[in-house]
Amino acid sequence: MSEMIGINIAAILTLAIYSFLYKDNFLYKTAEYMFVGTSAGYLLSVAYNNVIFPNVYLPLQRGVKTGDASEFLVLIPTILGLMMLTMLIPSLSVLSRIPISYVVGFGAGAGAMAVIQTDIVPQINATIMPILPLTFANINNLIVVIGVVCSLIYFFFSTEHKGLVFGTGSQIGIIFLMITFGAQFGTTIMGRVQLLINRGYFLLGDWLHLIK
Amino acid sequence: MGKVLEFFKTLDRRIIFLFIAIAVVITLINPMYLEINISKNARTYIKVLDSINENETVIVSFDYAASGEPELKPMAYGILYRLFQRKAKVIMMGFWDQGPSLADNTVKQVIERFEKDYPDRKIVYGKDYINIGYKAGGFTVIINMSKAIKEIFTADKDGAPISDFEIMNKIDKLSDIKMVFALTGGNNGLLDIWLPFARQQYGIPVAGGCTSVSAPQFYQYMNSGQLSGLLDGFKTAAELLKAIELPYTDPETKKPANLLTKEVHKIADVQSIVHLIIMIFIIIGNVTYLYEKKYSKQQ
Amino acid sequence: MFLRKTLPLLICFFCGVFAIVGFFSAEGTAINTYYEKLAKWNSIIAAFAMLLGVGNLIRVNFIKITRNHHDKIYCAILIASLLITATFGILGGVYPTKIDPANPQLMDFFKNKCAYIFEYMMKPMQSTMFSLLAFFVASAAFRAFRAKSFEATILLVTAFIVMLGRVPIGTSIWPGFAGISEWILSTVNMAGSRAITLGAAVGATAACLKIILGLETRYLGGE
Repeated sequence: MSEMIGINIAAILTLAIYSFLYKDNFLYKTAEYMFVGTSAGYLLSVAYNNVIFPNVYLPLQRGVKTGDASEFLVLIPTILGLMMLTMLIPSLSVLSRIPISYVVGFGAGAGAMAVIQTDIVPQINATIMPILPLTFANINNLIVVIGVVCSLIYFFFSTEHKGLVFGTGSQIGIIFLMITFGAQFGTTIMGRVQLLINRGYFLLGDWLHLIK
Repeated sequence: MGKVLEFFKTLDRRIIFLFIAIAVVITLINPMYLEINISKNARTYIKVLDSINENETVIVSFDYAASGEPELKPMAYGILYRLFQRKAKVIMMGFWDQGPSLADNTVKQVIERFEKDYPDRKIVYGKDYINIGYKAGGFTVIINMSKAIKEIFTADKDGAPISDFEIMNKIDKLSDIKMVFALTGGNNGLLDIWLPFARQQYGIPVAGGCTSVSAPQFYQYMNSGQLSGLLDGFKTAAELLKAIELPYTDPETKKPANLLTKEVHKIADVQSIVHLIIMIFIIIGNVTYLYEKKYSKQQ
Repeated sequence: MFLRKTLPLLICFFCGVFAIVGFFSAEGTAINTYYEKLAKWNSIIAAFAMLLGVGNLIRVNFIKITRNHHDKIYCAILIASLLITATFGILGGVYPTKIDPANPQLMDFFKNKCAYIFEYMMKPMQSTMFSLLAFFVASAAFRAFRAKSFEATILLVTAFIVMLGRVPIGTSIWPGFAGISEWILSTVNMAGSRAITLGAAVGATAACLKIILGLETRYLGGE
């Protein structure tokens, strides 16, 4: 019974959002704001149930019971977290700068290392490939090498794009980039259409039972 | 010709919307069951899944929200089904708040199907699989998992102590995990968390799954060998399901797998038709443009 | 001034350098232990950052209601749906649980409600919201995807080949589409994507270093 009610609610909300395709209206806006509200409420619940309760409340409770001082270390990030919330109170918001700088600093340090070891070193390594003798695999390697180098030349704005290296190189680079963007457009369509099919499947199948 | 040109130039976008909606409805109700061919990416993925042996533990990370589910759920379905066939132990988790809920939903359907296909097998929570829920903090969670998984994930998604489950007996740190299957609806997951930290820093093999939208950017990581396998959107997800269903027979039970590819076929058919319609509209737009250019030159 | 700028910059510098040093530290060393500790704290602070986001959402919408903004009804709907979901989620849990009718509990009323909201409201609304893009992509492609130049024609032709190669009807028309599409994605597209990634990665590394060195302070409001 509750499943049937739920399916009807979901169908009404789906149609309310699709009504936007005709024009913006009250039903769409209601669903839109409801979506933002439920999503934020859900995020809050997950953050509480999966992080704050097991990683903050339970260690503190254990610390109180057992007297183990190490359990109270969790108070440090908790206080920092609470300081972050002071951003909502203008008179105290200066305190929020401390946890923010902590998170940003740590993220920047680890992030820089992550980028270097994921996107820079291995990607350059993978571009150093055999190109001779000219087998099918090696021709592909050659295309990749030319593509990467020429596309990088296109992004090199310190020199005017003229001459054999920078002029022709950037022209070839544009062709590679256009193919890349074309491929991205081609795959994007599938992703968006898949969502549409999912809703169509729900409306025609789960709701109206028209799909056998 | 001028009238036709004017008609297409001023075509209300709602007519295009209507065409697409009608195409979806008609094709879903009357599918054509076009042939799905298995690509190299799907074949590689099957090999990756088959490299997992009995009792080896893997992580399946559900780093997506409801908006990515239509593409990523078929992948998760295929991966979990195959892992259960391989008798692997599965730890499910998520770096997106909705991930563990979506994982729960998917695994229930997989188990229902699996136990129908293999009546002598029972998939038990806590023994064969576990859902350890969501954690905030992204890469910092991986850093902690590298030292002690049970310290950061103290409880499963329902709050039960994680150490109480049999599946976690031999798992202390990330290095005890054979492989990570990261299904990601954006960059936050496979690209920003699992690849730089689990794969690059701690050397755990990572196989990915992504939506079609972000697929092109992941090919470079396959080429560099950073990813062990890649499912790039619904296309390869459908192929994976078909590949699992087709030739595989469980080595012990000698039974073939039996997945719901009928539903997958229907969806692939709608994809085909909507793609065609969009292409036709692009062609019409271009013909109109070229004709208009020629017409204005003549005048 | 010290609390507003100097201290945050010092903390940022210390944490950034520590994250870099910790990254290279061997397991079991003191630096590595503290690196993991800082990472763990970061995870908890991240959860509070979510609370901040939600708190800010409530504040902004509450202000709109009190100022009699023309969207006030919708703002009220947003706050109400947020509070209802959060109440059920925090008091009853997020995931579906079994309720034992023989052993009723005080919190039973709140259980499964958040999961129900997720399954029948949030999920369909989110999927539908994003699926609208299918319609708009089609309409935008019709209006703007024109072979106006050589480069645009390359883009168009590639898009067509990839689209046909990724759906069964494409291979039914000509089996070669799948192979060409796969080749484009794994070779030519890969080369272009790699160049974009390399460029972005160098930029990201520079930005991270600027933050650590205090040359970039926009996260403190640009002061």
